[in-house]
Parts: sequence; structure tokens; C-alpha cells
Amino acid sequence: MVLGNEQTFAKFAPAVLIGQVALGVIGMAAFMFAPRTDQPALLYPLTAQAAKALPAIISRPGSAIAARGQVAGSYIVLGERSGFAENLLSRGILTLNAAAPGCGPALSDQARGSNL
Amino acid sequence: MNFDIHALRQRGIALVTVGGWLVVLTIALMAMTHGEDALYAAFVSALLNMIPTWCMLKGRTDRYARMAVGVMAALQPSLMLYVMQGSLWQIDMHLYIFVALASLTLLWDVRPIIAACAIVLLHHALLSFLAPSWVFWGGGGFVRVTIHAIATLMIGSVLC
Repeated sequence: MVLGNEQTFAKFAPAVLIGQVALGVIGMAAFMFAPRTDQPALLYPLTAQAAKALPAIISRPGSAIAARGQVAGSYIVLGERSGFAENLLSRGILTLNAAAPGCGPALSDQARGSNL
Repeated sequence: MNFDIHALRQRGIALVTVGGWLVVLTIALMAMTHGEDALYAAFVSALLNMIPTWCMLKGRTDRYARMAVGVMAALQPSLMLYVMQGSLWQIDMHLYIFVALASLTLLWDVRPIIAACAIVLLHHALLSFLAPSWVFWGGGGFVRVTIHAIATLMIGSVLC
């Protein structure tokens, strides 16, 4: 059965609100956690292989380890990182904004006074 | 004198949506002084405007469309607050929350106003603990959040 315009709208009407709430939540979350090129970034390995490779990657010139992250195996780094997030994601490392909630330095590093 | 509620709501959705795009433009202009962060915020702001714009273009005024506009209006000022973080003027951006809430009276429905007030309260309560600088210059705190929450509840009650 082919629905008329009005009937189609009525059938999918709740999707408008669901879509808007989803856009709001996803947009705000992505905005909150997206890495910024001029701010510290949290590097979180998604695989065991990435966890092994991460220390070597962040010891390269151009970046500096500022602290350990709150999740084991994660690090907070400083430095020039244009195009960094996309490269790292292809190697199984997630890059997040270290200023976002839950993405700051590990408590032991906070107590020591990290240079963030 | 006859009132066509559908026409009034259509006009209301159009006006609030145009207001939403003005916020996008304002935040994009803020990028000149506030850099990359404002561009991210402008992008999210534009994203939030997509569904209300679609509703406006299709002439939709049903309760879901009105609620979608309410969600957009509640979240837009939070992006302005974010962009102005670290500035003394951040507190002034809170005024636009009241503008956004008041603009929802153009929709002739209390539901978007209630939803928008709830979103504002949730935004303030959550971020005052998770990222206080995104809402308040100099940090949040229970008393400050309570003052803002009472003001939001009061204006919400008046508008309903």
C-alpha cells in the first residue's frame, strides 16, 4: 500500500524527535571528546598489538609524553598532531581530547603534578 | 479574529530555526578570535539545526517537530558558553538561554519549553561536575548551579 504524504509523515513523526535527540547527544559527545591540535591528547590503544606499539610511536620526535592516562596502557601526549588522530586510528589507537571528562591523567600522575 | 494554530506554529518553527542559524553564524564568527574550538562548536551547532530546518521546509508542525526545535533551542546556547570559556563574558552568554526558552513560546506548546528547561538543567548539573569551565567562569559549585536552576525553573514556569 502506498501511503500519502501526510500518512507517511505521521508514521515516521517520532523519528524526527529521536533523530534530533540522537544528533544532540552524538554531536555533543563527539564535540566533547574530539582531539584538538593545540591541546593535550589522550591516546588509548584498542588492541593488544596497539598497546605494544604505542610507547614507541609516542617517543618519536615532535611529541612528548605528559602523563599516563586513567586507563592502563593509555598516555597523554603534547605536541604538533595535525593528521595524527586519523593515522593512529588506522593502527588501532583512539585519540581523545585529554581535557574531556574521564580523559585526564592517572590519579598517581595528578598527585605527582603532571605538566598538563 | 481567527487564529490558525498551524500557521502560527509554522511561523514559530521558521523564526526559531532562523535564530538557530544565526547562532551558527555567530559561533563561526567567534572562530576568528577563539580559534579551532569555535569551528568545532559551529559544526555541532549546524548539525543541531538540520532537523528543525527540514521540519521548517516541509511545513511540519506536529508535536515531534516542535520538540525537535525545543531540543535545538536548548542546546545552542550551551555551545556559546563553551566557546566563551575562560572569558569574563562567559556568564553573559547565559542570557541567551533565556532568549532561547522565550523563543519557544512561538511554538504555542508547553512541551518544548518543558523539554528545553530540562535539558538546560541537565546540562548545567552534569557539566558543573564533569567540566565546570564549560559552563561557569571560575568553576561551578552547588550554590551556583542551584541559583541558575531556580532561575531556569522560574522562567520555565512563567513561559508555560
